[in-house]
Amino acid sequence: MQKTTKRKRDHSTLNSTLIRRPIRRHFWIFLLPTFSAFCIGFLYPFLQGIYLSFCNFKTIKKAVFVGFDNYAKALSDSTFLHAFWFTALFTVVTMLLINVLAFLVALALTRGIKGSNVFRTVFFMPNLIGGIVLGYIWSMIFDGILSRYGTSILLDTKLGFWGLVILLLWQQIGYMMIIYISGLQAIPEEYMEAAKIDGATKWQTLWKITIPNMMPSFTICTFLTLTNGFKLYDQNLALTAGRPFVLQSDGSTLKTTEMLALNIVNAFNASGGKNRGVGQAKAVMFFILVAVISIIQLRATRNKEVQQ
Amino acid sequence: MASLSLEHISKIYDNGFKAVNDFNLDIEDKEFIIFVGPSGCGKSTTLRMIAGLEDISEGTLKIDGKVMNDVEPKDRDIAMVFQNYALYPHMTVFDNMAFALKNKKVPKDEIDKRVNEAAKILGLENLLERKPKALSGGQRQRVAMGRAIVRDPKVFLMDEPLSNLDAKLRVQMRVEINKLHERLGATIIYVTHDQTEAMTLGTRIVVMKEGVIQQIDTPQNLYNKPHNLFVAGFIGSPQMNFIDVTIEEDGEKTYAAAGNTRVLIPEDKAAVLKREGFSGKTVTMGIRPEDLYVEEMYIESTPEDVIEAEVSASELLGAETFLYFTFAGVQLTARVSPNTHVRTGEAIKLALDMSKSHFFNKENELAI
Repeated sequence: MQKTTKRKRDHSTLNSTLIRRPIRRHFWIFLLPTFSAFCIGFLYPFLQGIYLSFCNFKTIKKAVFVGFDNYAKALSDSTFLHAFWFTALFTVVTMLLINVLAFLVALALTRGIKGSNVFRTVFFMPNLIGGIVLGYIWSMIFDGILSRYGTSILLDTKLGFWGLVILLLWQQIGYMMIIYISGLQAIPEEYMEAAKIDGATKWQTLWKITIPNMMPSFTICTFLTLTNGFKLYDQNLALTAGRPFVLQSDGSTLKTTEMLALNIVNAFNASGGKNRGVGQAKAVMFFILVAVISIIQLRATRNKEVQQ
Repeated sequence: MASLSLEHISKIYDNGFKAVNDFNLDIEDKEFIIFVGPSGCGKSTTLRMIAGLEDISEGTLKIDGKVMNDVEPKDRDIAMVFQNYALYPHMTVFDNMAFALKNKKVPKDEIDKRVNEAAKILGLENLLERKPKALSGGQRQRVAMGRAIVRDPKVFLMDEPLSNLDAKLRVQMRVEINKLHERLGATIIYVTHDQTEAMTLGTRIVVMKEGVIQQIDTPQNLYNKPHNLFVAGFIGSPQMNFIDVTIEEDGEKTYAAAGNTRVLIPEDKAAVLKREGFSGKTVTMGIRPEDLYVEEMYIESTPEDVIEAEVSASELLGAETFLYFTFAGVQLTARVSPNTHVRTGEAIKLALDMSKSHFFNKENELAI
């Protein structure tokens, strides 16, 4: 209520009807630059991508419509299904770990401990490094340690999985921590004081006061970690690139630590580009999957949000 | 219910700032104590020390004779009403009120009984399932009160509970809090910066300034016998007029002179001034706006207590009129009958009821 009146007052001169009316009439001029960029850069390729997923093509000009063939092939591709389950498991694990750890770090760093700001900055810093660089740095670290035990991150699927988990935790905890810290700081101190007087223990205060009031932060952080997990690509490419490989009975190679995005790119480029359509079909399914899951997640957590 | 005693209580922050300095007060059972003062005077800090939300730097806090300095807030058996109510936004009104009882593991039917009882007292029966955001300011305020009542605490602590309400609602809630005090027979400590609230609610008022108690007294005494210049100026609205005057002796009589006007000081007050050695010295004279009269009758009956001044503004408030005028270089206010018709710029005569005058030492600002 207060906010809207304030906003109105602040812009009362700028936002007068006299100025607003011509702007409203010619709104499309102002819309045009971004909207055309959106159409050229996103909407057109996206729609064409959907069309191409129904085609056999090597270059987009020589596309032949084949119906659902590509989808059938994609769904019968065991590497795709493996990548799906691997990615799903990876996403669940990282989503839980990142959020729990980031929240705990945020709690620790809002207690007024000396040097909190230094820690916040340091924990955030991994975000400033690109995924590929991170992947190579961590592969050196992992292999440096694992070589003492006579193994490598590239030799064991489990090691690859946990290596990717550690890598993503290291990169994302700091980011989510910042969101949680701002959420924690937005809770009025009075709630905590009222809870103290109401006889709530620290544990009860955390569960019954702090966390319910943090739901907007949980919504955004679970959304980000969920989609980040599903879409992970460059770290995957740099750290394991899908290794170790396993030769399957049908003669194909299963890349055991290959995640969905990497699987799609590999499919697209495999056999000199003969199966581009299949890769494209996988990409469309991937899009639908991520969209549906994140919408369900947003609905679920939004319901728990409260207005103050 | 309970008695409290605060002995030599001080609050010193890490940066050395002394927010509260040597606070001494004994509160008896069922008293309604008001802490009043301008912002930053330490009244809220003192309340928060009693609540246990702030550490007590020095001194001893006792509730019912037991030292409470290091006792957790929840074990002090107090309830607090916050300025912004601090209602938990994700809980219903019922859950807000029941939260403390649930934490204490009170049986469920007992919780139901107590919450419903409190809701009845406060007229909240129909709102129990609502969340705070669906309530009006006044309703939220009631819920905050209800949250305190259900706990049946020894002491109620209220930190400016009415300051977020509009003027009309504030008056209404003030009356209700007064009723509540009588009904519950509770010991209440109430912080406010509003002297009207202080005067109407308190059985005793503690006036504070810069962390130091200025005066502890009943509302009546505070108004009629302020200990110092600060209390005299703080209590009462419009505030007391202050004029620097020289005490002059002329034969048997004693006058207060300012500029080329002098007014007669009644004998009892004159005797005190003389005894304390203020003859011929400058002191601050205080007189409340309602003790200035424009009516002919007063001017004729006390010709020696009359001043002349030019009216700089007048405000008709309906039941009364405030006249603002300058006398001896200071702005003064008179509260007169609304039937008084004077024009701005007009020179008028005013009779001072000198029996109601106050004199303050200019050096230490204490009442003489």
